[in-house]
Amino acid sequence: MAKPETAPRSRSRFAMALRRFRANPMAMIGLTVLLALVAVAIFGPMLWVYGYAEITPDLSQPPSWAHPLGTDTLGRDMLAMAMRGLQQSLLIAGTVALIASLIGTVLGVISGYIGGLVDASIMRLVDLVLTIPTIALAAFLGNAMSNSGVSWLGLSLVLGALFWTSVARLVRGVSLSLREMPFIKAAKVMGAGPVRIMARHMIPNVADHIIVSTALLVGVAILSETGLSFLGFGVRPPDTSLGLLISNAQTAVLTRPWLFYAPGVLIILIVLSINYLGEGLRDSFNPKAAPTNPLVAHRTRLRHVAAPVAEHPGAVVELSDFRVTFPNADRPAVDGIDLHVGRGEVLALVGESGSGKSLTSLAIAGLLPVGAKASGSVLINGKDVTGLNFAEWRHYRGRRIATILQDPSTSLNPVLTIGAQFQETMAVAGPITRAESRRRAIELMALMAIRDPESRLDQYPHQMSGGIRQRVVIAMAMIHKPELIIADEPTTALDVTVQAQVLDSLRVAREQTGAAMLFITHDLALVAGVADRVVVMREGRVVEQKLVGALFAAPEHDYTKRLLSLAPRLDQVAKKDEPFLREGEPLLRLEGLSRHFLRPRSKTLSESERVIHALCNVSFDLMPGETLGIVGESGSGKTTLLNTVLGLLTPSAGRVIFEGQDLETPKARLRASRDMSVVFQDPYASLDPRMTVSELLAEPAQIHGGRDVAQRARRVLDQVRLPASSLDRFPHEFSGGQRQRIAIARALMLEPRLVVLDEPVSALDVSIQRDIMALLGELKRELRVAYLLVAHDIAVVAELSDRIGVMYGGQMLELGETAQVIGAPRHAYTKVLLDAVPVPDPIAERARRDRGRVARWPTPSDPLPACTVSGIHK
Amino acid sequence: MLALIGRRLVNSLAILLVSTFVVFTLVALAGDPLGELRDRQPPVPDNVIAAEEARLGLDQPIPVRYLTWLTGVVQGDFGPSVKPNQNIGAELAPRVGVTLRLVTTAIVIATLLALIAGTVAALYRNRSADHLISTSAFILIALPSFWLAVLLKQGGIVLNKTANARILFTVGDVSVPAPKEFLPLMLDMAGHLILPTIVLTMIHFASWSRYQRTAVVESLSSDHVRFAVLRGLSRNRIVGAHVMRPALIPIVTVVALDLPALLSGAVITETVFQWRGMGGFLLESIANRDANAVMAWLLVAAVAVVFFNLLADIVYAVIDPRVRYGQA
Repeated sequence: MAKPETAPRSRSRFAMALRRFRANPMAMIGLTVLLALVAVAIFGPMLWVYGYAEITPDLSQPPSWAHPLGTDTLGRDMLAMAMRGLQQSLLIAGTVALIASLIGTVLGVISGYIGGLVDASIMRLVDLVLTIPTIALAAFLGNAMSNSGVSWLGLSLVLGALFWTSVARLVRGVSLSLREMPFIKAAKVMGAGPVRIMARHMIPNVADHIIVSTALLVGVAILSETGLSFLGFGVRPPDTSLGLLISNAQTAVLTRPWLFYAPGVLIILIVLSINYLGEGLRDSFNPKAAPTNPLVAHRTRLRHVAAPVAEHPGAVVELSDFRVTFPNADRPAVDGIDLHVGRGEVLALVGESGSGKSLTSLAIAGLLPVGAKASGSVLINGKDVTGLNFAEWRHYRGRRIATILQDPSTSLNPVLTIGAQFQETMAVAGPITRAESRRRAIELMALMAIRDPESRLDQYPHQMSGGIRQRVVIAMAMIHKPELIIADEPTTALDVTVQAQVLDSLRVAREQTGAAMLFITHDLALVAGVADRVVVMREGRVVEQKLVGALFAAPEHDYTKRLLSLAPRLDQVAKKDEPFLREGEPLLRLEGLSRHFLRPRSKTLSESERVIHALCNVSFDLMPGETLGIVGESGSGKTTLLNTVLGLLTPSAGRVIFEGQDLETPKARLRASRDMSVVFQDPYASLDPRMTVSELLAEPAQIHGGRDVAQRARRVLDQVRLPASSLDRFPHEFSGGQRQRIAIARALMLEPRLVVLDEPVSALDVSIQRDIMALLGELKRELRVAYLLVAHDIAVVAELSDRIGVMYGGQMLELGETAQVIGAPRHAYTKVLLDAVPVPDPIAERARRDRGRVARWPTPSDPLPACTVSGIHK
Repeated sequence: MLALIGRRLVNSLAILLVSTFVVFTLVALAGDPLGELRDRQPPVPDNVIAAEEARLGLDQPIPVRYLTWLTGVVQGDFGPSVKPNQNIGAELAPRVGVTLRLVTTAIVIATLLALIAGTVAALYRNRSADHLISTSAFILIALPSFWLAVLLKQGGIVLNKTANARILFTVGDVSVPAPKEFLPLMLDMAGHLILPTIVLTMIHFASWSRYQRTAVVESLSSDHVRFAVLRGLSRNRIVGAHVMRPALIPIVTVVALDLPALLSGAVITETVFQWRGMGGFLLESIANRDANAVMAWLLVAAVAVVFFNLLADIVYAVIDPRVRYGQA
């Protein structure tokens, strides 16, 4: 249930940006100086006694009360001229920036959103403009136009036409990434046209970038304009500009310095204040969390008076009363925990996001984020390590404590070969020859069951799959036979079948080195097969600490009990109520649906090898009110299937028939978008951050027309158990689970007949997953809506689905009633998939390990059948 | 790798072709090169103007003029100049060398400085070294190049005067007459390079160092650096191989993109220091409305830009294996 609204109404994004901007002193100074200069430029000439062209009898006067900036050789007052120059420069620069950002925004958004040929042409145009040194063309055009009386407007147009490229490139870049955002896809699925998407979703979301780059462009434009005027091709006498003033004073630097310094200092002041202002705007719109710098050793501030005493003498690591606090946080992130890891022991640290488990593991390796304050003691082999510096930590890191990070695609250096990364790790203990390091690396990789380790050494990380990369990381952890291996969610980023292999590799590593292991995970089910002892953490505290068997058999704390009851159990969902009655016309029918992609051209690939069969000849029927679950790992084609059904991709072959209509026929897609809606995986990305809940809910009705939108919005909010007071709030004011409820509410706005669910719970914490699953189940019964559910987790799919389809390599390998697929799988791959799902029961899990895993699939002798659909069309 | 370069080269040629056509049209439409001749008092006879028009090819439609110009350029002829006895190619060629000397030196020095300053600022983020570097960079970015150039030139003059010796060269790209032997000639040229190079370097290194700082800050917080630290590698190894190398790509991009700006800066710097380089040629041609001369200048600049971008692409491939293997 949503929490009752007790917290004060938090402010809009704009208000928060303003507050951050005001807290930035340099930006505020910049703004003040700039405003003052603009005021002087506007009002100064009106108030000052001399005109800029007025010749006074005082020739070449140094600064005095009558002439605060002195006079030139003709007796003109420098202050009047400087103010006129300021006026001209600011006017021209402002106009240039406006013109350039207007052109840049329009072209950038179009280029980024539409892509393809339009994008290519616009980007070539950008390249083309970029080959031209601005000053040359501007000077020529300015000079040519001066015959027809060059005005500030002419000069601004020329410069604006040359400066739009920087804005266009920036806006295009942001638009390209926005285009892939689920909230843009959601708008497309709703039936929104390109103009609506660009105007309502894209431009508001790039607005902050446009403001910042426009501000910075003013600075660039001022430098260009003054430069041109200096050369004699910008503002012409008798009018004046700051550049022209400097040009006139070139020879007077020594004799009449006031003529030279005043305009120069003015230019510097303007540009400096604009740049600080622009940087301030950028930081306040896109506040970045203070990036960490792991090269700075984190020293615990509070030193102990007496040396801490080890309570567990044999422990490799012992934490006592350990706390981590962040400034401005209402509770400590880690709140006085005590734990130890014995020699050779596997300790699992389990908790949801925000439980402090990762901070704890980082602290053991001496890496806490900037700004964190730690207290308490961390003992490694009985020695206090709080307060070690970088060099001292190097005695522990790598050699005595090895760490395995979560995401193997980012933890290896992308620009070094695997061999080089092995060698540098080995060299930590002393110099080693290349041949020797290669020999040992091959040995270690062979232990990790990596095939053909020799050739892997010369490869780069991006040339390997995630599972291999993580096994390479584990192999590196074994190099120095550490006493402790910290594995921080080592399988979370991997597919479930790969997860099983990586867990096996971890076991081998531990057995070979005899190291203790700290295994951090959010998944209690994984722990059963891995750990000797389990520590459950919640909100920075240890709530329960037990041997693994005892924990699963008799959990004491309510939280542990809850976590255990929430873990989906395949053996339990298989027993379902009566099967769904399939009769009448299907709501959705797929007929031989296929989708191919082409790999980029390359020497090593033949034409036929370039074709990727992302989706191959998939057919099924979905009845009204039925739920079909599609399960598959990454690369299985489940996402392509979903995108093709939703109309985000066009099929290469085959048809999607919805409510009896082929969706490829004109207008059919728009009509279908009324009765078909979608809920995406990530609730943080599927709702437009610039819209309030009521705007988000109203959008489908605006596209398709509908009455009583406000009343309807209240009703769907009620259906997803959110209070009506949510309507005028922004998505960022809600928690992840609440946002997913809003996304579901939006999907229900037009009373759809089919809701497509794309991994609806996998981005959420376990305890929230359960609530959303329950809600989806209730809605299905209440509204008789059909679901097409796609997920990687077979347990999630099984719980909600009437039928299950199993996909691999773009093909549907098995499709059947849920009870049959789970209870009596027909295809070898389904068996592999089911076997890989961890069971939250230590005894069952250990029994399974002794039994050995089921035969892998596909194998060279039993491969995935080749895709016979050819026809490629785009 | 070679295929990559070949593809880029074809791409670049296409851009050059389109870009020259667009610029040619713009330049042709922008003004009448004979405006000054027509306005002359007493009036110039019509047949003289007609002959001049025919000599410059102004009586032809623009596409035809472009084709004539293009075929000429391919054969090394940049077309007739407004000044009857000037050969554009012969006049421009030595000046290109002079300007490239300045621009290349400035690029090399500015890139090195930017790498060092940006990296140091990022490694000591929010500490005094960073504040010092960042503030100076901000001020340098705000300095107009021509103002700095004039200031340095006058400073050089004062220095020479007070020391009563020629310590710094403040005028020209080489002494007149130039030394005959090789080594003195090189030294003389290097001496003349000092002040203009300082101007050009200062202006560009500052903004590049900001990019480098951002890249290193980002690189520092990436997972693979954390993993390198956790593997117990030494600080030098981490900074060199794990922080710097992946952070080189942004600066290569920025330097390549900024070349046109550098050429613009060179025009200003050369003007102040009275070099006989491309800058003077450009300004003179503009003042004379010499369309073909301006076109020749722009062509040289565009070729330089395209060449540098090609160089940047090759550097990417060297730095980043993902580019080399066609994945990024």
